[in-house]
Amino acid sequence: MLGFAIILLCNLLGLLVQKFLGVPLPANVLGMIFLTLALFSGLVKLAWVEPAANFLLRHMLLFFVPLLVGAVLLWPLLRASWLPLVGGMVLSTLLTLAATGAVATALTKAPPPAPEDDRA
Amino acid sequence: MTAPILHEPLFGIALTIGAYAAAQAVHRRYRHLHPLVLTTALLLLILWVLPQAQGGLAATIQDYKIGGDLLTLLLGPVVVALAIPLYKNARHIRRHFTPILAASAVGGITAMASGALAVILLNRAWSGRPVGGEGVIILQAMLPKSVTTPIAVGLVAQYPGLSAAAMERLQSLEAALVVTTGLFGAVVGPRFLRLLRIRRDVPLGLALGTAAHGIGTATALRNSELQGLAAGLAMALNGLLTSGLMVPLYGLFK
Repeated sequence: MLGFAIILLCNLLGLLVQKFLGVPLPANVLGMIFLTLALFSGLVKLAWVEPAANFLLRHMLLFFVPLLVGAVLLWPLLRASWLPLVGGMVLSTLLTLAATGAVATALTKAPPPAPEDDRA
Repeated sequence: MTAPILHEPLFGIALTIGAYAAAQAVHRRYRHLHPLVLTTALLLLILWVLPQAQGGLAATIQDYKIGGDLLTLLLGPVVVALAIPLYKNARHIRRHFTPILAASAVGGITAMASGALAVILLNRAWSGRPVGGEGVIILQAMLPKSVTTPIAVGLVAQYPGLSAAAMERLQSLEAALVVTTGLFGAVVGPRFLRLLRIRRDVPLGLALGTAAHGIGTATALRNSELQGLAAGLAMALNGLLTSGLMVPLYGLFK
């Protein structure tokens, strides 16, 4: 339960920052940033949050399946505008795959000239 | 007679978790059937077979969502939990961190820009008119479609001036579009990347994670552990980057 408590606390903190400081990011994304910083700074130990996080992530689809069920009600919209939707998705996904893959290939091609530094 | 039971939040929650558990059991035997597709199909089948609420299937789905929306509420903590793979994967592949950041940034920007451009051009070719009316919803949904579903659903809720009903529509459309993107990217991605002669694990994983979020990451993880790590990292980074890039874009939809 410690893990769930920490995760919910981060989420709540995100909500507070969003509402009172007017940051236009979703509260949960702010919570994710806070938890990441807390982990990197050592404020929160990985072992405290890992079981709860793994549970949430493993069963993630359970939490958005109701939205998918609701999407059936959008059938008129989907039928009227399937071309921009499907075409946009396909073109954009292929371009994203190519761009990411090409940049990553170019940048990771030459291994660093210095011998491997694994001391850190 | 059935309607009062359908109105109980427990109905939607029990039905969803039951369908999910059943879908997992089926998935264990038939590996190629995605539990996401199975769960949704099973739920729709049950809702369709049930004695309908007054107003037909649409009304039954609205009743189901009374409980279903309580589950959706937990997408918030799910997003916060993404900090864990971000932290773990970043430590594992620290060596390539700068190229990873650069590739994710280029990929994330490409996803948003090309998606928006394609919608605008296709919409014009299709209807002969600039994007307007229902087209706006599609453009709004297309922008964050490459990030993981819980983040994308949260991002579209931030568009200014949405009524409760419009937000519900947009979030449902977003979930469907993001899932479709993930399935398409995960199925076509590996073959497409091989065609482009992209063969090493880190670039493959980054491409799958950036373009096809969690579903792409699951595919990458099946190919190799390093590929999966790179994909998970790219997915989390793209989620953060897209969230940041959405902030100035919200103003365009006022």
